[in-house]
Amino acid sequence: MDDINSGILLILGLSVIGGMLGALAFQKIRFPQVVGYIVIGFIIGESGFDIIGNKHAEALQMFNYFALGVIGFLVGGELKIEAFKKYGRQFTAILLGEGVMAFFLVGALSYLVIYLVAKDFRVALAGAVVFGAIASATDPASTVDVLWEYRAQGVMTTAIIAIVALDDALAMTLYGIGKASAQLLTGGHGSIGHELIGVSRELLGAIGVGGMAALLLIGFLRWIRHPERGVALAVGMIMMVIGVAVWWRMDVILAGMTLGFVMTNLASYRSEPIFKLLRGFSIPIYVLFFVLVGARLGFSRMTWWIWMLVLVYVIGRSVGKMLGSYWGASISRSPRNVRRYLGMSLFAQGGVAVGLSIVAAQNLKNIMITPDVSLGDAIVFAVTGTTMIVQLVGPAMVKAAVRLAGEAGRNITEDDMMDMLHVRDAASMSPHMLKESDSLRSALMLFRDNDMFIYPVIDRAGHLTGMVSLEALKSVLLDRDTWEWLLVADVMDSVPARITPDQTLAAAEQQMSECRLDQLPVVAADNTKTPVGIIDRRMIKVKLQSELIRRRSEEEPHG
Amino acid sequence: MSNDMSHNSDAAGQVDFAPLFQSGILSRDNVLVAERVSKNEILQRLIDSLAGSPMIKSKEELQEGIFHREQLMSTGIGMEIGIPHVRIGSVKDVILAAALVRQGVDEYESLDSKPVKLIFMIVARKDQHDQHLKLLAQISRRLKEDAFRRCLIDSADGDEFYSLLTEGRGNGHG
Repeated sequence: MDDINSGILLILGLSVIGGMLGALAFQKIRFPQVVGYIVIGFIIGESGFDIIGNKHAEALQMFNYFALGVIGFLVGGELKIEAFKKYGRQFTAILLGEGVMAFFLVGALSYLVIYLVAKDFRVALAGAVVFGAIASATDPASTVDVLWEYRAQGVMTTAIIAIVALDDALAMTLYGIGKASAQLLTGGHGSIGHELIGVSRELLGAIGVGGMAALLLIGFLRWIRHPERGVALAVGMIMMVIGVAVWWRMDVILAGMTLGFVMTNLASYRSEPIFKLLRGFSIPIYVLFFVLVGARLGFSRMTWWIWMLVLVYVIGRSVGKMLGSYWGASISRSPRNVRRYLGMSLFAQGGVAVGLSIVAAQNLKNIMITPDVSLGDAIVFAVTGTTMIVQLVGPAMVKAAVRLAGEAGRNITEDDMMDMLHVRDAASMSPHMLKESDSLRSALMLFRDNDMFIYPVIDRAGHLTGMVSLEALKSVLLDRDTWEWLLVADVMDSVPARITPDQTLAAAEQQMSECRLDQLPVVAADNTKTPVGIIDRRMIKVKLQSELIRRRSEEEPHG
Repeated sequence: MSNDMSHNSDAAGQVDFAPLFQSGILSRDNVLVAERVSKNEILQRLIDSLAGSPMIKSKEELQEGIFHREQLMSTGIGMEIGIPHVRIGSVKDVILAAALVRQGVDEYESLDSKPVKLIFMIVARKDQHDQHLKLLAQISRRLKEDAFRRCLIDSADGDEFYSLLTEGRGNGHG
């Protein structure tokens, strides 16, 4: 037992470090990092050096559930109810378009391949329905990971997140119907009604458990001030939700998503720092999850016609997703970028598809295509093969889509903007200057007639000698007779730091923090004695807010 | 508080005012009395006196600061009062020096063009912005009281001048 445990820890460490190195290598050749994780997994897994074998995969099953729960929680946290209110009709049309079109195209093409091999239209139809259903799912984890990596933001990004979050539910519903049809068609004991009840229990149960857990968590968070402790509470709640979902055979990722969705929409203020902290903490979980996805891909027992199935599945699914989402986006009058590029972001396939294929292997193992390969086996092999291809291609396509739609690099935080903007963008340049020999009265008049809280002070040579702030004058405001004989030189503060217009706002903020000041004089870059402006924290804040509003308004769809 | 009510005088002519300064901020060593001196001379004597205090670490900075301020504008605020003042880095805490010039300093260029007889030199640390301004306002406000100002000008000697400033007690010669 010790052997297995220490072995697993070793493998977990190897996977995380290997995955990170793989991601770095793939980033060098401009591939999304998730591809690097999967390739490393593939190399050390079943189809490569077999360092991670079946016994490890089984032992790590609980970790996979945990990863899915955390990923679901974070994806749910991205779904704002306002987006659904605003774009609900578009999302529904695109979801149905891409899901149903992929279902029919993959169904039709796989019917042909299976019929060619099995020569039995019922078996072919049964296989077609199940393949079609699985094809409608999209992997939220790797898709959203790429969106985060490239800091995508915009109407198409919102649509992608909403659709990858929802189409697993669509896939499971279609699968339920498909599996029951397959069993009915092939003389088994399935019933569509029975299947639908089962699927409803899986989906609605997951939503119910996630929702209730979210309400509980929001209640607990009222008593907790530190976001770090909130994260601990959230992780504990995610684990409990996963435990209940696995126990009652509900959809783990949907339960996690509901937890995140309810949290972000009912208690956005309290949950925002938790999502932020958890996102940082989730990186090793992501890495490990995808390395393990890669490690589980097995190809040793695949025959030529299964590769044919893989080929038609990938082509049918890709074309179906692209055409279907174009059609759905067109009839719902979605913006042009959504119509053109959304479909190519929906290629990734992961947890749900693989999970459904494993369930199918159990349920459909008695339906034989050839004497030694059942429909269940064919589904597992084909979905494994297609997963490898689309997981390598899918993330790159997501990257291309957000680039083409112009939504990459838009999801920037205030910290990012502080690094991008310069002092000259926010500072008040060429402000009024006070001379050190000016009377206090003239300084007070300047404050009265302008909206600045601070002015630079210059000497006779025009060199910066200090700054006067309204704050510094408050102790003499009531002594009017001092206004005549006190000078600006008497009330000015010295200048412990100065900044030039081409330095970043982050540098200005840092200088202010170091000197415990709320403002800094801006001096000419070529002569630091000559004041050219003034900057304070209020100006920086106003600039950041107006820049954020500007960027947001540019993201609004223009039709 | 009216001028008349701000002090008492007893039968022996002793006067009793509210003190102008807390003891400690002004020491007896930094109180001078002179008959007739030039502006530069009395400023320099006050600087020299303050420079002897362990509170002042750089006489040069003090001297430069005081004369630079006078160049910008005279610190003669009228009513025979001058308040040369400066904030510098090389002082430990607020410190004062005071001078009584009986004949007045004619060339002080005060706001009302009258000779300056009472001079208070204030030196504060750069970050003692608030204390510095409060002390300036406090001096100008208290010395608007004619009786107190007259008593100060009429002090018999340095001891009485010092006693009036720090304890509010004097002999009431005026």
